[in-house]
Amino acid sequence: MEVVRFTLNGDPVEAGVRAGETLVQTLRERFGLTGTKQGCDLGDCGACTVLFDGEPVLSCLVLAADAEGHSVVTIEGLSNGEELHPVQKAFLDEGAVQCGYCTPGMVLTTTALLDANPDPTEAEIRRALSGNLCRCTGYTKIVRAVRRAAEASRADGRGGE
Amino acid sequence: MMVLPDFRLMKPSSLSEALSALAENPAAMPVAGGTDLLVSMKQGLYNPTHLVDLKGAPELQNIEIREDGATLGACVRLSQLKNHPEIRKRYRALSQAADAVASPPLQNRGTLGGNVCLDTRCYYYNQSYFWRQSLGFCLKKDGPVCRAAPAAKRCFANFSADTVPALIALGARVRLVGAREGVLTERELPLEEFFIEDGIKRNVLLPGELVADLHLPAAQNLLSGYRKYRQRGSIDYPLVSVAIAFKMREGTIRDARVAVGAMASAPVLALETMEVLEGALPTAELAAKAADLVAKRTKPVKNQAGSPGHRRHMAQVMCRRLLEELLDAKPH
Repeated sequence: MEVVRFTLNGDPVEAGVRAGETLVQTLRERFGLTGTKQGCDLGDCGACTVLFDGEPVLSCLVLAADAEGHSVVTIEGLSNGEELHPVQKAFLDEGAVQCGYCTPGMVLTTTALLDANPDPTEAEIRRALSGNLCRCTGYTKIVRAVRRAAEASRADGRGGE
Repeated sequence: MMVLPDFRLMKPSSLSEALSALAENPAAMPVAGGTDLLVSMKQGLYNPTHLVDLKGAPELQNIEIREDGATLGACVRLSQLKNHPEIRKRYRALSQAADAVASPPLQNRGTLGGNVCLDTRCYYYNQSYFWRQSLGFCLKKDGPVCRAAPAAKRCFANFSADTVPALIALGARVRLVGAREGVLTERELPLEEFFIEDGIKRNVLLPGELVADLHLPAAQNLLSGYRKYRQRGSIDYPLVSVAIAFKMREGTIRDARVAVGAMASAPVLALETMEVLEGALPTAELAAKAADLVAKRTKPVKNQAGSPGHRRHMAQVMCRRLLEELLDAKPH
C-alpha cells in the first residue's frame, strides 16, 4: 500500500492504493464514484474516461499512484449541485443518451474539447470523440449535443460581457 | 475486469536513478505512459517484478527545436508532439503520425519513447491469457510454434508503431543510455538500425538500456507526411502505414526517404521507391510509378485483419495518395 494524494473533483483527497491498482478501480471502489464506467479495461472503449489535469485520459490505463499531485475530474464533479453542467444539459436536451454507459466519457471528453476549442467544426468534434465508443445511438445525436453545448456556452459567454 | 499482476512501482526522480533501478532489478521494466504495457500486463504477456516510472526524470522531457534540427525526449507525450506548432510546420510527418496513434485520450498519456519501443503485435499474441491458453500458446509467449505461420521457425509479429516510419523518413537518430557495472553508457544510431526483423527480439536495446531521446536533422525545404490504414478511423493499430520525406531543390526531388510500417516485424525502407523519386521531376505519372514499388521489400503474413495481398495493395494506395498530396504542397 502506498498513500496517494490528489485533487478529486476540486477537493483534496488521499487514499491507500496497491501498486497494481488502476485509477478507475480507486475511483469506483475506494471513493464510490461509480459514474466512471469500467468497460473493456484495455484502453479501447473510452467508458472509463476522466479528466486528468483537464485532459481526457483512460483511467483503466492510469496507475492510481500516478495521480499523486494531479487533478482528477469525474462525471460526478461536473454539475453544480442540482444544476447540470451545460454539456450534461445539452446531452439531455438532445436525447444523446441511450443505455448511458458511454455517456460519462462522452460528456467529459466534450467538456475538455470545448474548454480548448469553444467553436469546433463537426470534423473536430468527431476527431475529439473518436476514442469514445457508443454502441447504441449511432453518434448523430451525440455530435448534435456537442454543437448545442458549444452554442450554449458561447451564448453564455456573450451574455456575460 | 482485467487485473494487473503484482509488481513494485519505483518512481526515480532522475535518469541516472532510473538506470540504476533497472540495473539492480533484472526483471524490472521501464514504464512511461503505460498505455500499451499495462494492457499487455493485464493480458499476462509481461510479468515484471518492478515497474520503473520514467515520467519523473526531467532529462527525458526535452523538446528542443533549432534551425539545425530537433531533440525530442523519450517521455514527450504524443499529444504534445501533435499539437506543437513548430513540429507541425517543420516535421509534419511526425505530428501526423502522433495524431494517428490509438485515440486522443491515449495520446494524452502515451509517449514518444514508448511508441518507439512498442511491442510487436499479432492476432495470436495480443489476447487474454484465457484466449491464448484455449488455442495453445504461440512462439512469442510460452508456446512452441508460430500460430500465424506454423511452418516457420520465427515470430512474425507485426511492427505497429506509428511515429517510427515518420521518424525514419525524417532521418532521425536515436540515443540510447544504460548503466553497466555502475558506469553510464551511451550510444547513438540511425533509427532504422535500432530495429530487428524478429517479432520477439524487436530491437537492439540491451537489458537495462533505455531510449533517451531522438534527434532530427534540419527541416529546411522539407516536405513530409504520414498515412495510416486501419480497420476503424481511430483506436486501431496500423494494417499498413507509409511515411515520406523529401526536399525540393531546383524543381527536383532530393533526399527522398520512404518508410513502411506494419508490413513486417520491423519498419522497412522502400529503397526502390526512394530510387525512383531521387532527382525526379514532380510529374503527374511519378506518384503512381514510385508507389507501385513501395511494398517490394515486404512479405506480410496473415496475422492482422485483412489479407497480406490487401495490405500490400493498400501500401501502394497510401503511398500514391501521400505522394500526390506532397507533390502539390509547398515546403514550409
